[in-house]
Amino acid sequence: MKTTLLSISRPSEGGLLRFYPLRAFSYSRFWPSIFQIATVLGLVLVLYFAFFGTIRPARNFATVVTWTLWWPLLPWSFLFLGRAWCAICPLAAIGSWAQEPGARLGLAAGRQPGAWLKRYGVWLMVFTFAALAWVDRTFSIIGSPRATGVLLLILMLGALLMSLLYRQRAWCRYLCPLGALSGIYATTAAVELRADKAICQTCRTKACYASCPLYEFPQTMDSNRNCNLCGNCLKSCQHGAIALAPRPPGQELWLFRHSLVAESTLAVLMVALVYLQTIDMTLPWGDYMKAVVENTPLVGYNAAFTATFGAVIALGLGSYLVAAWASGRLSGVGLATIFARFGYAYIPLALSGHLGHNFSHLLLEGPRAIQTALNQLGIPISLVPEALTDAPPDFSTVTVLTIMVLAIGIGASAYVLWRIVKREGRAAITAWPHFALLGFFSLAYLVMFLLPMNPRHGH
Amino acid sequence: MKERYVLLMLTALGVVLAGCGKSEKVGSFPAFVYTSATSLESYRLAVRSPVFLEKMPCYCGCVQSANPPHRNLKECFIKPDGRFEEHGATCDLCGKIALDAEAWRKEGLSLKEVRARLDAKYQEYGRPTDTPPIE
Repeated sequence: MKTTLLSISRPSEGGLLRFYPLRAFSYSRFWPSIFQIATVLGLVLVLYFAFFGTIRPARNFATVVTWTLWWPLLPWSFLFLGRAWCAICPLAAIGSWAQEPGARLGLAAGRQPGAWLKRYGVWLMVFTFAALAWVDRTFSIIGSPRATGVLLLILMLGALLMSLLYRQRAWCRYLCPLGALSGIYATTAAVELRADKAICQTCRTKACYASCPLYEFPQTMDSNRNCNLCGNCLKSCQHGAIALAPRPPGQELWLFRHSLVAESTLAVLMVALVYLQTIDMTLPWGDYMKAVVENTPLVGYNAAFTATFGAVIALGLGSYLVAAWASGRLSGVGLATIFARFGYAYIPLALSGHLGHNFSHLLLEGPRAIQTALNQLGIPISLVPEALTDAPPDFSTVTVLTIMVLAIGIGASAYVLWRIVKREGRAAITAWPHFALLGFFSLAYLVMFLLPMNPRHGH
Repeated sequence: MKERYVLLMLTALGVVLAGCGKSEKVGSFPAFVYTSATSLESYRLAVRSPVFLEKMPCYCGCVQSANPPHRNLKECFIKPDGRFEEHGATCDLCGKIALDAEAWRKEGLSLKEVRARLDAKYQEYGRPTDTPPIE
């Protein structure tokens, strides 16, 4: 390993790995294991407080750390580090750690994922992510430490079970709802781990494939969707063919070759889900729900919400289907091809909406949440200035930041659309229906983020 | 083709779930009530059982923060003059307390027992309203 670190003539010493500290870090046996230990310890604390801590969500370590700090920060990590969170995710780490003792005890099957899992895995993720979004809103998971604990336990058991059934991380690749989110958003990352294909063709061992927890083959990998930057391929490659390189954020969205209908669906679904999870926090939401509850047979709030949830998703996916159909008609390309390819262009919009949605949580509630977490752990220090906890940034500041991020996302989506058309040598008219739909989605987002928020106070 | 079936199944599931409402329609409320399931259900409860909620305390701090201070859980939802109070819709605790109390009453607990359970569960939130004890 030392010779690899010292030599300077191979791709693995180029790009970001030119910098020795980063190279040493990437090749270190402590990456990602030391971080996994830290996050597992964090998870243990979260579960302890979730089940044995105060029932007050605004004062409970589990809810403030999970929903006010980790969840809003997570999308930022996708932008800068791709799926790196998945490498240190405590849920997956516990599953991985259980595989070896499980095999010794005859509990782990260690199978390769079957054809059905490979074929329908992304669809399962689409469904589990949408289901999780619905469950969160319907059962108010974020407002309950106990429910938060139960959700984390369910996810942990899912990861554990899949780890015992299959080798490597089938859970992360094919089932985890957060894996769906991180895979899609990791395409926008400003870094990528890629192999030098010319060198790979001379390799006879393909050790990188055997070591990849997400079943990726670096030689053919052209997307971050299934790369968690764990560095296993980097460490196992005897030829130094793999490099970590900076890139224009989201570049792969117009460069990669393998597009899937399921992933395109997931991308547009994300646009709809971010909209749903924000619009129900605005003041006019009450007027809308009042109209639905009083004028339709949907008399319960959850029934009315569920119908709206389904309708917004159907509207989002339906309008995308229409745009893809129109685009196909204009260009003479098949619907399935257009549907599978152009959905990725909406990812920057969804991510910017996601980041914008979380600004309010992070900036308005974050400082107090950090102090609450420290207090819960019995750490007697005042890390956050009182001025920030007592008077967080006002709502107009948050709105300006949100609109700025959203504008970048809209511009990025439009740019990706244009690059896809150019890259694939299609007529410019192919993109028009998608530009129109992007305009519609963008307008809906802009109006939503400018609406006054519903005042709520937590305890 | 199979992907289309999956989409159809998801849509059908949404329609089925949409029919899962169990609440009965009780009157009309201001728009601020329709912001969460807990809010709507607790206002419906307040209209249906005002005397019951009048005997229960609230622990959210409205004994100090509300103007005038609330005297019982009912006043988080309905003002003494009979108009709707917005506080119960914007506070994430009042509704939970009200729905807990109702659930325990439906389990067959007496008013005194419901009150005792509320005290045990919510006393960590701080000072309750000055609601007279149940004899």
